[in-house]
Amino acid sequence: METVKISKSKFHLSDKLGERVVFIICLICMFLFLYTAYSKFIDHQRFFKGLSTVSVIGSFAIYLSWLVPSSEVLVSVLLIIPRTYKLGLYGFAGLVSVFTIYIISMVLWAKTLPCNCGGVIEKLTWVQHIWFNLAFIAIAVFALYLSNSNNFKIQKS
Amino acid sequence: MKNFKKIALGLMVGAMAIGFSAFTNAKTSFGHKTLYNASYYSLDGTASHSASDYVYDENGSCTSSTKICSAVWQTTIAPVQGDAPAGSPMFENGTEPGTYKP
Repeated sequence: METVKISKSKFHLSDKLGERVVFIICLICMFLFLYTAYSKFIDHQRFFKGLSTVSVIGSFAIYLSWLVPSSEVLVSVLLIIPRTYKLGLYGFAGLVSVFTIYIISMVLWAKTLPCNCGGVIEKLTWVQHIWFNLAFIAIAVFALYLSNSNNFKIQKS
Repeated sequence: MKNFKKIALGLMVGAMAIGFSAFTNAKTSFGHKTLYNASYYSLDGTASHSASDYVYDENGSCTSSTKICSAVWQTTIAPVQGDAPAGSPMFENGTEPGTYKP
């Protein structure tokens, strides 16, 4: 006799609730990225100057100063389109991970710590900033876990 | 939730994010923010990019040496006697050789 083992996730949310949680997380992530991208675009000169003072990336500062906010806008657009929200979540988690690695490396090795993160986020200390980023990575990963689980399917157009 | 509702809500939140960002950056957005370029004395004699290593001193001077005496910082808050650069300080270089003499 053939036996089929069905493993069920211990963490269970109803389809509707799960879908809503993922959608709210997408909105929060999109809000964060659009908020910071706008301030980087509007005060671009300052952002560029800040990056150019960092020895490792200083020579690419002009490219990075456009690439970083553009990537944030792109990920935000992916997050609000139901067909691409998952790609957006991967992009969000990936970008924030890169930012976090950059901050940790700066804290460990750099003599100067220029923060040009945009808006009120610049008021955070570096350690607070790391925790802030880790929290956002965690909620993005949680949203991906929920949407990848078989508990519910996000409605597709 | 229907997809068009999701997109509409997403656009609304996006507009809020930009509006909120514009609000918190209002002064810089339209060039109304006053920026101060001032020379600050280096406390450790290096061209450090850390604002805490500098001090504003109207009565300070530099004695001749190969160290770094002062550097120019751009700030959004006017320089205060005896304080480090404050208010989004940006290192503007403009270093001068010498040793800081209070």
